[in-house]
Amino acid sequence: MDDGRRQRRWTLALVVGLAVLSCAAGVWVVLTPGEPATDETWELIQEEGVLRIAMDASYPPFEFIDEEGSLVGYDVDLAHELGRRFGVDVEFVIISFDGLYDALRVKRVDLILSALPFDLRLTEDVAYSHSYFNAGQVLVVREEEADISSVENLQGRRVGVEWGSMGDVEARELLRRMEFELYQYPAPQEALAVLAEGEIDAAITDAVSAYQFSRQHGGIKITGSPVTDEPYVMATLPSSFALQVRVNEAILDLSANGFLDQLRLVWF
Amino acid sequence: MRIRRKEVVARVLRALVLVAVLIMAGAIPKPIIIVGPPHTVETVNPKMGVHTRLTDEVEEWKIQRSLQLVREMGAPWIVEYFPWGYIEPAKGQFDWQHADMVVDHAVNQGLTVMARLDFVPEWARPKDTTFRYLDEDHYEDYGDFVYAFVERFQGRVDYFVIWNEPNLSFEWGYRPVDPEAYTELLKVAYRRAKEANPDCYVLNGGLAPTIAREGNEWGLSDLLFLQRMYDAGAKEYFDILSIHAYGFVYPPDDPPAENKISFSRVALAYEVMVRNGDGDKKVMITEGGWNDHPRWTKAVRPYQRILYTIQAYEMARDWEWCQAFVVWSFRTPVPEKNFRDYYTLVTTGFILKPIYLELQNYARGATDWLLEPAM
Repeated sequence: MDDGRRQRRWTLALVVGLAVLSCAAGVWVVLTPGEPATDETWELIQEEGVLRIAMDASYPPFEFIDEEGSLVGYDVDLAHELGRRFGVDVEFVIISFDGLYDALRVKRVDLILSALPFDLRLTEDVAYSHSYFNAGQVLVVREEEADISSVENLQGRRVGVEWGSMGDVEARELLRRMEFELYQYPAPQEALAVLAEGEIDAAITDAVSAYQFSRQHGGIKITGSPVTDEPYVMATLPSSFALQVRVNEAILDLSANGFLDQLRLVWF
Repeated sequence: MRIRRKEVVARVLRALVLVAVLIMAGAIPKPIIIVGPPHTVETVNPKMGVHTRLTDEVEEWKIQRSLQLVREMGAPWIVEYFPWGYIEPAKGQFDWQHADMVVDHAVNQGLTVMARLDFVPEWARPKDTTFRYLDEDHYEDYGDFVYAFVERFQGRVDYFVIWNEPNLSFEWGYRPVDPEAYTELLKVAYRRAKEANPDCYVLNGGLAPTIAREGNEWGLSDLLFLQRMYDAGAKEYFDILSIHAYGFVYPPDDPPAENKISFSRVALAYEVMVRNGDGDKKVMITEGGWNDHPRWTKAVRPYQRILYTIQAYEMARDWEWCQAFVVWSFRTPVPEKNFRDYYTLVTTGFILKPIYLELQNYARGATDWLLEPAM
């Protein structure tokens, strides 16, 4: 064997050896248990026995101050249920909507629960929970209506919306591919009242307005799938991963066991 | 030999054509936005204004369309937000592209721009603070930014709003509000702005209407905050008072009171100015108006919002000391999907709301807005 060939073999062996060592080191790093990650927020909640929740108490039926001066609403009941499940008290920190996210950022609160719409632009700043309520636009018809079960059945019909609302936007989108008469009203309640009286065949409004009108006046129903999705979510700091997991588990469970449906029946 | 050379030339040409076609096919054609000839605003009320909120609007045609609609509505004033952190992402490195675009289109539409300057970049604040947090060590950095901004927009922008709602804790970086510290910031900004353009107008950060008393965790009454600003020597460091005037559930002519938030509360702020020998200055309402969400507890009905807004524009016209009333807000780049969408005059998708059309009629001289609709 000449010197050149021997040298090439040594080089090859060295390269292979280094590659094997690198792989082994990688496996060791991956498999070796490191320091367990800690969620300081969750630890503090457990230590102090208090879950601090930011809320803008001006948005019925989700959170508002009732005539007796008490904080009440769908979100308030949901917050108390979270506290019960976590075995801690709930402290509501009442903040205007504009200040909710900053209160979380500076750790003044642990969680935002305030009819909070999912915001794609903030997903690097906060961690959003699963949705617990869909406040999007829905198709509403009279209670006895059997022929309209989706927006596809609106051809040739009379449809009411709140002028300039997301329902109006959706209706105008639909008009690009089908024909119906569009009637615009100053507020969703007007559109729903006119629907109940039979002057129009369907309305596209937000889900809460539809639920509320149905409960207060009757004569209408939501039909088909939601026209748009506007999920309400809770927000935590991205570092509050243990809290996030528990919040998400709770939402899934409360949805499955009917608690959220019950809340809706209580408040809308 | 001659034939071969021709073949080579032909092949090269074919290849060049192919490359050119591929480049053109791969290039995304830019929409052609033409600024066009300059316009002027026609209105019966030169004090009408709107907050345009184009900060996060990335598409130029939407910026142009928004400002065109403002002009067509008849509002000569706009307030626009120019975040320091967007424009100066690293100390001394400026990106003026978006700000230039907004200002050029606004000026082309004949609008007068008031530039709100805040939003602290990460390099100018400690970790884990909000973008509203600025400590005194970085006041000069903010001053440098103000100088750069005022200098760049000389001849295009003459009005500069220094900070936003410093009487609210969250607008002060979630620290206790501090009128004296804010006044120091205002002094730095005023000095640097005047160095860049002695003829510019410096406005204080618009004070938020709140009835919070001394020691409140979340803020301090606008009236008390303003008095403490005067006590700290602010008088010589703003040319026009900027204040916010939200009506919530009260009509605009509801009598003002220190313990109530209503549109006419702004008159109490002017009284503070007069008491401090500053009554010759003007007041600009740089945010305000009503909301018509169907359920929000601080909202009114849509027809009330229209009526109140027009009445408020009328009141501003009658108030000799008031230079402009800027309604919050014209449009947002994306829907907020909650009650805040009900402050706007135009939807994200440029659907004109009834209030836009009524304000436009008002600006064109219509007087039948005094009649309340049946609804």
